[in-house]
Amino acid sequence: MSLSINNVGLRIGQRQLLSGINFDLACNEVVAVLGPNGAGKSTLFKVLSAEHRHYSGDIELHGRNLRQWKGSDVAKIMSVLPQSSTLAFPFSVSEVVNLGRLPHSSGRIIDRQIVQQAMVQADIAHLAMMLYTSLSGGEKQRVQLARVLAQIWQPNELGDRFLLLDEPTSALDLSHQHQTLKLARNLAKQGVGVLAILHDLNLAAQYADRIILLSQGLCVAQGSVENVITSQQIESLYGIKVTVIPHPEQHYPMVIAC
Amino acid sequence: MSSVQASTLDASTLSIREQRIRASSLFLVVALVLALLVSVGTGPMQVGLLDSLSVITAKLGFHESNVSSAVESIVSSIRLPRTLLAMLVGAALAVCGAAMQGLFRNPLADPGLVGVTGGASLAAVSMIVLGGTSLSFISQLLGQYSLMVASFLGALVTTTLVAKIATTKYGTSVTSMLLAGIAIGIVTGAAVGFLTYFADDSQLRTLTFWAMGSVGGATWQSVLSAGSFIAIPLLLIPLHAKQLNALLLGESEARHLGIDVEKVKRRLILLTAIAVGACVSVSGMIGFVGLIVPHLVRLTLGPDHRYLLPQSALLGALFLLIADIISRTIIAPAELPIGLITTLIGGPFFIIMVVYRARSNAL
Amino acid sequence: MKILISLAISMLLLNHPVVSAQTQRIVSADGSLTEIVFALGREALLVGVDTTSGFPVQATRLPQIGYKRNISAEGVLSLEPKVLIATQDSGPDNVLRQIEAAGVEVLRYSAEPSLNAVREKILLVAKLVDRQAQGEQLWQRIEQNVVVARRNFSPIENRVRVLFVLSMASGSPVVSGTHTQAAEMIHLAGGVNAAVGFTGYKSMPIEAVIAAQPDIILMMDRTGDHGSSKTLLQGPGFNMTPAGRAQRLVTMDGMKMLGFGPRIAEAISELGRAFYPDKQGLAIQ
Repeated sequence: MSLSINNVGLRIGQRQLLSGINFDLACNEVVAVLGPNGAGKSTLFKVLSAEHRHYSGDIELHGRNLRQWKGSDVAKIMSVLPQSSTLAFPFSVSEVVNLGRLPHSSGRIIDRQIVQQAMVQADIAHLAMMLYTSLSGGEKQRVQLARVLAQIWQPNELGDRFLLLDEPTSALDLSHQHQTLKLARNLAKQGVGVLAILHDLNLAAQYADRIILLSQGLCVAQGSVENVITSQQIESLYGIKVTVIPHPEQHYPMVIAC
Repeated sequence: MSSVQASTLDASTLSIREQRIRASSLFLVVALVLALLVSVGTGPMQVGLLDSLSVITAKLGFHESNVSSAVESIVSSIRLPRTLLAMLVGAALAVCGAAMQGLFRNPLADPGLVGVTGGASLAAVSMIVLGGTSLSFISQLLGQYSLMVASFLGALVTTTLVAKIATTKYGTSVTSMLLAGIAIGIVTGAAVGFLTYFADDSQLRTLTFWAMGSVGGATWQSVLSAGSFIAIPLLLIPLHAKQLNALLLGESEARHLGIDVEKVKRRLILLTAIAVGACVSVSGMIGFVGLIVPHLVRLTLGPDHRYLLPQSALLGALFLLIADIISRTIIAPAELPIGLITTLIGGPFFIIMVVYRARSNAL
Repeated sequence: MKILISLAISMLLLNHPVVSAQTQRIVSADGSLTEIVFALGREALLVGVDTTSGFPVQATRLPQIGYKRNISAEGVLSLEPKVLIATQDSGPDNVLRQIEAAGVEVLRYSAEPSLNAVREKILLVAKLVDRQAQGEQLWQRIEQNVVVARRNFSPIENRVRVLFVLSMASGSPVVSGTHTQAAEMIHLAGGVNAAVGFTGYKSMPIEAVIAAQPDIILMMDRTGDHGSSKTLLQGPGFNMTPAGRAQRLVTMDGMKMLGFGPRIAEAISELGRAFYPDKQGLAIQ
């Protein structure tokens, strides 16, 4: 099953933030959303995660209109990693991760196990008892990642699961950036559909199955990595001259500015 | 670190937290019972603790009353209601404070920010100053309850106004609510100042005492009527503990966890307005309880609302009961307004909180 | 003591200004002073009064300058007075200074809750309005009546315990301790203040009210007062006092009872009769 976005548009006041967005997200792929600042990437996410309700067009989750889904049901199979978090209260790291289990009534023992495993995946198990507020930016981001992982850890009868990541690598160091995206690929292999907003073209090219390019609220290109990451596309979107060459070992396209 | 080691740490430290919570609950309950006994055993009439206890146990049906009716009257009509009111108001103010801090995601938030105190003040002042003239029809209708009912309605009206201002079709913005609450507070403050200008001496004195709070007017009637308006929020707010925890992450995050954020916000605002409005109407303005008590609980036990709310209720009841005992013994036979005592303790505490947070850039 | 006070008042009298017929404009910032001017028949000199000047009723028709503790400078000055008569507790002080700086003579009399203050006010105001002889007569009459009233109602034993309640509206009742007008009136009328141990008007927990065992509750007469006085005595706590059990609530017009003005003898007499109903005594002139 899938997440289908059909002709979705969003207008707030006088501004048309999104128009005519069409794509499907299947639950075994990683799709990266790219585009310059202000292209509408975060807006698209807000529409998908039901933060903006007054959009035109339809979104279907597993064949049913998202508008008809109960929020608490959606939360059982879709989790969203925010770009930044403003938690200012002295929760411990494991307490924050545990918040991800809220949509489920799986009981304390199972929750504790899942929280533990999610923390290991996000490489923060050693920080479990630390106060969230005392962590660095990168550590905090990994805690949030663990939380959203914990939220969709277990398969659910409502349908296949989805994970939406809004710039999940912005505060992370190099090794954690790759760790996170490898995690995304693994999840896709396990049947979770992953949609990630990325700003690093090369990371997207390395880890995504498909790419969606947005510019000024419109989808200007959509397709496989090889088809979308071309020098013409990049130049017309970002306005700088680039060279695209295949990675020497992995063969995915690499973008190098001229 | 191996996952086995990590999980052992996890399990044992969790139980330390749980141990702390259990110890705290026990301590608070015992302290509360002791304070209750001190409260009913203290007063200018020669009615000691043993007599008070025997009145209580007789009332509960354990045995026949063996004290004079005068003693019984003192304990059951005067000391007991006052004690219960102090506990009820203290618990309510503390729980509502904790809920508002969760809603506004800021430990310095106070129930007064949503317009409750402003509205209650304005209504009460109007009643005091105009009760003999333009509003005399109300005082004739409601008699000695006119002040209470007026405060309560005032609180509800301004809270609704603030909520309406801050709500657009996109939802209720907490920031807008804060700003609207401040604006309404300024307007009601000005109106209060205006009315105060027309007050004569005795009205001004009444105003002063109302503005500094007292649980001295407690009767079984007022305890039951205010109590019913306070009890429901007091019981319902803690049921939203998990939602409040999620709200601390942020509104979008809470929504992504499946919480109907708008509904939760509206409900919490309404419940807080009802509880605090009732408190203000029956005991005047008592400040800082909603600020200090949840903060103390958070400092020792953490921010998880599942225990923050019930523990705040217990500590709030204890805090205000002790303040009341002080208020009626320190300058006996006169009474020091209870709001003065909570401010004397809470004011410096609040300043320390602000300085600490400013220093650690966490504001 | 009396001689010293007489001396002091004489000194004040010597230096006290007199308003001549040409300079006829006086503003009063105190109800008792207004009453004195009327009692001396010189109300024609009054061009403005404050909100406490409710007696006699003609005074209420005069232009208003505001509440005695919060008078309006402009309000006063717009009436172009020559003199402003006030008591020590009229105010605010800076407004009075402003008025003085604008060329108005500001005369402040004692606000002490005492008969001496009444005397001072009457004699000095009488000099101001050039009716010294009438002033003397007025004071003599009042003093006589006070003596008579007090003789009737000053028992040596079994003095009634009186509690003056200012308001019931907010929590514990606000009552009068010592050193207030109410406390002094209770004393003058032959009663004993049930509330001791503190000065001024303060909240008193209801249990302390019971412990004080008042025989009589004394309140000001107000329409729509804060906390209907009728139900007061039935409220919990009050019904455990002798006053509550015997339903003894005495009310009187606030200005008459607490103003320490020309009606003080009447007030003392009425209070005395209310405190001791079986001692009728001689009527006052």
